[in-house]
Amino acid sequence: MNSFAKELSKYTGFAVNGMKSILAYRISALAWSFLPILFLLVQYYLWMGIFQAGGGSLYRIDWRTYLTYIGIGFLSSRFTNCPFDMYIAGELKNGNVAMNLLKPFSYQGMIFARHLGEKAVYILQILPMLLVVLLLTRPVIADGWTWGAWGMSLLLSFLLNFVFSFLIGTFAFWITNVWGLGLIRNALRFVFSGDLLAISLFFQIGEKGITLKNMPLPHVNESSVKGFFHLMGVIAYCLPFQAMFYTPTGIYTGMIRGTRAVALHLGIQFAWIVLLFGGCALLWKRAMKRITIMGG
Amino acid sequence: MRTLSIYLAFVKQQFQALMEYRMDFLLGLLGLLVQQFATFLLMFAVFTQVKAVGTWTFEEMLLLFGWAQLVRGIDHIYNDNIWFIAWYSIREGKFYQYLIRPWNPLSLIVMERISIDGFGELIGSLIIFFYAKHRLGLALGFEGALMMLWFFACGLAIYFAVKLAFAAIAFWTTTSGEIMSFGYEANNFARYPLDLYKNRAVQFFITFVLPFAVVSFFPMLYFLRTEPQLIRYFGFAAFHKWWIPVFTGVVAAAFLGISLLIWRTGIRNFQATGT
Amino acid sequence: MIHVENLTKDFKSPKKYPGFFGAFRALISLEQETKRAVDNMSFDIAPGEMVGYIGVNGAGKSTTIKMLSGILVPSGGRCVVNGRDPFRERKANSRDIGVVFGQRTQLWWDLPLSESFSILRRIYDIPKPKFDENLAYFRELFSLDEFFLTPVRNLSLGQKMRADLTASMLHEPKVLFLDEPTIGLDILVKDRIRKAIREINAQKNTTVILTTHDLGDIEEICDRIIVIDQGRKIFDGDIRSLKARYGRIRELRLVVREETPAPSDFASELGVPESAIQAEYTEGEVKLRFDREAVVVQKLIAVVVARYDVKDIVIEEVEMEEIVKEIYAGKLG
Repeated sequence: MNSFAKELSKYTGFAVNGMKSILAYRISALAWSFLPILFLLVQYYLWMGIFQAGGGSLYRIDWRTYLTYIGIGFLSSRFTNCPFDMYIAGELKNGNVAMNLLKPFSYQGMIFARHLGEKAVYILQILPMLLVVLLLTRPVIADGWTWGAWGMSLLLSFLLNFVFSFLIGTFAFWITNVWGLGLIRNALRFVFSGDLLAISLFFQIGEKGITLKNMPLPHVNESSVKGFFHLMGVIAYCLPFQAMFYTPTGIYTGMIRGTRAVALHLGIQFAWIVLLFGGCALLWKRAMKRITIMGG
Repeated sequence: MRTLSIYLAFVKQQFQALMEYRMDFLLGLLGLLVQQFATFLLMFAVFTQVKAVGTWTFEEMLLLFGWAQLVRGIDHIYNDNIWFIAWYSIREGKFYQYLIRPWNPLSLIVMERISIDGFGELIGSLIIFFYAKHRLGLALGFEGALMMLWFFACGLAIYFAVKLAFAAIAFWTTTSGEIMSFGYEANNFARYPLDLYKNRAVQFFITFVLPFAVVSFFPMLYFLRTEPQLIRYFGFAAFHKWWIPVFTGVVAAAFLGISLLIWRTGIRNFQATGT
Repeated sequence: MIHVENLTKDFKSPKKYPGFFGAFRALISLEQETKRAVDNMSFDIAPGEMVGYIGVNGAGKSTTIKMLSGILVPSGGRCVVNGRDPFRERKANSRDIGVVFGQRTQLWWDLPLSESFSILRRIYDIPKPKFDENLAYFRELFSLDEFFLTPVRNLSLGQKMRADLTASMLHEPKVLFLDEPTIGLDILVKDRIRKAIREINAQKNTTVILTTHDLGDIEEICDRIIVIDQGRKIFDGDIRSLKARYGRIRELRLVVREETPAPSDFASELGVPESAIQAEYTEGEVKLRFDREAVVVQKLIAVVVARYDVKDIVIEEVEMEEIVKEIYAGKLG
């Protein structure tokens, strides 16, 4: 019991450090609290406008659901995202990691503890955002079962984000310049995480039975458009981004409906965690070998 | 002039470095192209269900989006270094380097770097803009082209001003990268028509506080709307279209002036407190 | 050339509170603490002088340099460099000064040296023939050819310093400010840099102000030293007279077999005043400090050898380090 407490206390120290680092810059702290609301506002107005034009619903989704999607999605994604990827890449490149290998704790554990610490403080900062989300998007309150599933999904999403972030950081070690990788990752995430469009919309647009009410590009035929969107949806499921961001919110809003669908999605999240964790562990081992032989 | 030769020396260097980081550049380019395409996709998806959002058709929205990205892209290319000031230079104690040269620090900062990444935004936006222009059958003529140049210059001035002002905050807080990101990202929201935002406060904000709507929306109004329609935005003052270029010019000049003032005050503060 | 009068610099910083909850308290507190980095400093430096500015870390050396180069504005007092106020006439002042900060390069990270220099030529508006002449001079002095086309980021610390010194001198400034230029450099490179600085001063009569806490720099380069402590000037004088004064003092170190050597009354044994000789006894060692004009060395050695079982013996002059320590201790004015 004693040694466990000791182990724990090591990591709590890191968590506290994480918290302190956020509080150190008070203006930053304020900025982080309020300015993201700007993003939310724009999303809100954009989609309100879109839904109004569409008479209250787009495909099979009605505006209340989509607003809920945006609001809850906003909060969840901010809560679950993990900003350590570039930091880890940097530490690996400049060899600072080597110093940490000499110490009696796991590097991953340390980063995770810091991450937890930062998120703990983040909960404070998220309160104003929460308020705005509640007032603005007036999310639909889901039933108990959905809450449970959402919570579970959120937890998985949190872990998945961390593992993915760590993987990217480790992967970046082998790439000469990380910038391009980051941009591609951001672009893919934007499209395939449900940020741009709820993933279910991809499938609804691509659905064979429904005809499109309007064709924006006159020289393209309908079936190829449908095929394209369907393909986008499929690609989304081949990438981890939807598991990182879309799934929890999809569950909450009912876009992922029914016990089977929910269970499947949770399973997919879990599978991604395992897969990426494995990949990460492998890469990390190789990176460590490289560092200890070559010295960073 | 000396300025030009110094600038060319830096530009030449950037292109040489480009050859070294080819893959990185291509990935970056690709990434940005994908992001442009994504918004296009969003609009496309939306317009498979509706013919117009508010009073705006698909092609009109594309034009607006294309123009907004065009200005953003050019700004990204030539005015990238200011980010380093906000995130890095002041915090790491490197800013003093600009103060020991017999040259205007801001000028030196702008000249030092051009970002090749920005070409991704530029290419995507050019494609979208000219496609939309073609589909709308928009003919500019000589007067239109001049007006376009004017709007372009004002738009760049506004971007410059916003970035400068936020970067200057770092003189007081050591690092202002995060706030600057948010201030800058507000521009995303002026990719869409102003009337989409039903809230007066928001409209005011994007027009008079972080005037990105003045960069793209109002200029496009000039080309896409007739005078009676303009009355909706300007009330009695919209009796003639030239109100828009005047308004744009005034906002641009005002913001540029204010931001330069903040910048200069910031340097003074830096020299007083040493950060 | 350089005139500094009652120069003062205060820094305000938000008050910090210790502990975990201190972080929260600091978030909402508006209290500030003031630190006086430079305290009523006054001195004058004539053209061509090579002045060493000594102090421990945080004593205020860099702050003074920053004020003289126009980077920082003084809180009080004034300074005049080449007849100008460095802060008010920043650009004009920049043309006449060169500044090098140790461990930090002012050259552009990604640019090869050749490019950096040619850009500087345009920034400082140096006429081409003068530029070529100066560049050739420094290329030779610092052996820049070996890395002339390399980007700055790939250079070693020593190479960067040589490059920075060149960059700071291309426009023939009248004053050269060097802030810890040899810090982090190895012995050979240090030596080379020091020689180069002396040569620059000899060739071009550049005034050199050098801040450092490496006394080797001082010994090799400077004619005059100003010692500062906690922002205040505690000594200002030329090295030669300092050395002359201390030239009389010798240190004698004995390694003896006795684990605890018994103290001796050297003064009375040699018939000299107490002040002429001091002794320190540590495990296995006896350290003596004496004025060689008061004490006859031969007699001293005879006494020492008779008294102790001597294994090893070292006699040396008092080093700069000792001199400066004494200055800090207030033994000199």
